[in-house]
Amino acid sequence: MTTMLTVKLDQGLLIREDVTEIEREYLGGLGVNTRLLYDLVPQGCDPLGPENLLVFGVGSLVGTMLPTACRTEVTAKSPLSGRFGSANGGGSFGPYLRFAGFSYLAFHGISPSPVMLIIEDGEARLESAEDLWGLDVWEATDRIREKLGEDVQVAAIGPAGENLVRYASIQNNYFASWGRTGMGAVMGSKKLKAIVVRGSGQVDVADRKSFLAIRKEAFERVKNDPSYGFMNRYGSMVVADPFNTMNAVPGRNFTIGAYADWEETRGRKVFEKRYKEADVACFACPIACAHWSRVKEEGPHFGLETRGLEVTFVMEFGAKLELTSIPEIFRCTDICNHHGMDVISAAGSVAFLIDAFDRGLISEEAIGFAPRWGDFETVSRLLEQIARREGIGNLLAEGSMRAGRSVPGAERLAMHVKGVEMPVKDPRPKCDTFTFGYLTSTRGGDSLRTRSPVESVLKGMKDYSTEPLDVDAGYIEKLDMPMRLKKEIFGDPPQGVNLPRVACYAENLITIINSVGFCIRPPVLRSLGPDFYARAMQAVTGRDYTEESVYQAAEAIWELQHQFNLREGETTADFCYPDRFYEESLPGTDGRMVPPLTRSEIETNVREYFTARGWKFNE
Amino acid sequence: MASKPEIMCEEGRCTGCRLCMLACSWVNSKTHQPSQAFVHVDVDEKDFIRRITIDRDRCTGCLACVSFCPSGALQSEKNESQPLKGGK
Repeated sequence: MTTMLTVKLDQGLLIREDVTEIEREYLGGLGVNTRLLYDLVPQGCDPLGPENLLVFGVGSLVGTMLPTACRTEVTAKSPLSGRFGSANGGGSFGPYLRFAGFSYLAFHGISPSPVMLIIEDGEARLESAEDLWGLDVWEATDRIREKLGEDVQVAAIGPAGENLVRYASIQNNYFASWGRTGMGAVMGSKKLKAIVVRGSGQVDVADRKSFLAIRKEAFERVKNDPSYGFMNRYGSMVVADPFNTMNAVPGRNFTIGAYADWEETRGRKVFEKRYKEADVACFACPIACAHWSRVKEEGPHFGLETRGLEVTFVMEFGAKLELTSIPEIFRCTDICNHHGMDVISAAGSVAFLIDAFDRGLISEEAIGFAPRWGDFETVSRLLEQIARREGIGNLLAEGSMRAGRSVPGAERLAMHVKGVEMPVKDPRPKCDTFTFGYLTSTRGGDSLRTRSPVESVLKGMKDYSTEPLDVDAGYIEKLDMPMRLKKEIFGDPPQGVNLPRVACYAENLITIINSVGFCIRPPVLRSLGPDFYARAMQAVTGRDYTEESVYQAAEAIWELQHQFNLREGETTADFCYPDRFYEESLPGTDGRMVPPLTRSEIETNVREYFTARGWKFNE
Repeated sequence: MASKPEIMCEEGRCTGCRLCMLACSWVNSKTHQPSQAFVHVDVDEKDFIRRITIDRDRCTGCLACVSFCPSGALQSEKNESQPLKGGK
């Protein structure tokens, strides 16, 4: 039986529910969360009001020894976009929630006073969190562990969540985050400071013999993928230098695409040589893409230890805000981890402010000081102010879209899609699957739901709707993807990659991954597909799945997210980049200038994507 | 009776993935229950201090933990282990 704990915070009620049938149809994690959100959140409700629902959904394969099966999806109507909101996190929270006997937690209503939910091996209770309210994530986690033991898993919000910063995150223990779309603000609005889990039970498998064969196959496929070694060595930093080489970093709020000193100041080799100390893994992950890091050079950050560096941190703080020192980037990331705040939206909001100040649209008097690009004091001070909604931080806590609308003339400087700040890469040098995803993702400006399993990082586009095929025909033949889609996406014989159609496929594949609780890192994304996940789910759950049934379930999940957004007023016109991408060239190094995007070409891709989805494109 | 193979722990190489615990519990109880594993990995996440303990009395010497360890933190003088068995 798959169990959900429904928590009615206004009444202090805890109800155990059997959600096996929903999970059978919607695969798990993200899929189940989506169904619940669509059914239970009324149209037009205030995301920070009592009618919103906050759901934690553990992937249906989590808790097993399948590689990377540890992830949990948190879903609610987003206070940042006003639409479907969702964030995916690794760490160890999900497995231990399942070992404690629950796969889903659904929070309704608003508690009259701050509380935390404590789950210990099948038993759950609400306790006062008055003494934790106001503490940052680390302080709260330490306090909880002092009281309940070092072995508990904690999902907590910090001051940003309490203060309803629209892009507040939820943190698992100290470093893992459910970052995007403001799930921490929803948790804060419900006066839920933390969820504490101790689980010592078990996760069973229906068909042990098949499961063992599938486990062996999965490890071999993941470990033999060519990206495995790079991912272990650099983590997501593997793409930091290529993005700069191709003129695609989001420098100064997406106005500079490359830096001449990038590789020697904040590139992947500098990180590896000077700071990286050890590999760190999430639960059940053989890749270990995270790295324990330490600042060894003299200076104000000497001795700082943290988990990093991720490409997101270096692009957001190192490019978008131009900090050139990795220790400063570490420190800014730590501020976000402590306060519980999404790095991308926080950096995007700060970048908006500096940009608006530079153009004379907002005064030093209004800000309280003169903010500067590349200035650690500026960035760290503004991050602290945002988390506490102090001074100008109160405006930036609303996110760049709302801030842009309230500063005359500054709206075009807010770099978001559907209210959600775009991450790490500029689409102008190469509008590929990664950046096209900013338009099509059901959670707004984000790339992590649209990563192609045949992504070519460095090669340019063949034309605006065709990516180059960076693998041979043999690779395509072996690729775990439904045969009918291979012909549609790559041609027969394979010649190129149809961008709108591979985007659609990538979204469906990642929907499956986020439902079963695997990770989307390239060794997994590239080597395992719908056929594998169908067999794995069948072995673990004992339910009948096929490649086609799993894929169709993913399509249905995506469709429900889209319907949720339509219900909240989304239109075709929202599938559009900020005007700057269509109107301004992007300077790089050596006088290079990347031209703006062509509106008609992007629109043609969006139309083709709509066709692939079976949606109508309204004029 | 043949002696159990020695398992050597190099904590500095441990990534904290706990695959060893999952493998051990599978061998012993045919389920995933890391709390019942004979090998235990504790990670102080704030400082990334890792501690590996093995219950030598209960350990059967099957070396599943060694074969599952992706980082080489667990090693054996023998370089082989039994394949996992899972039949009902």
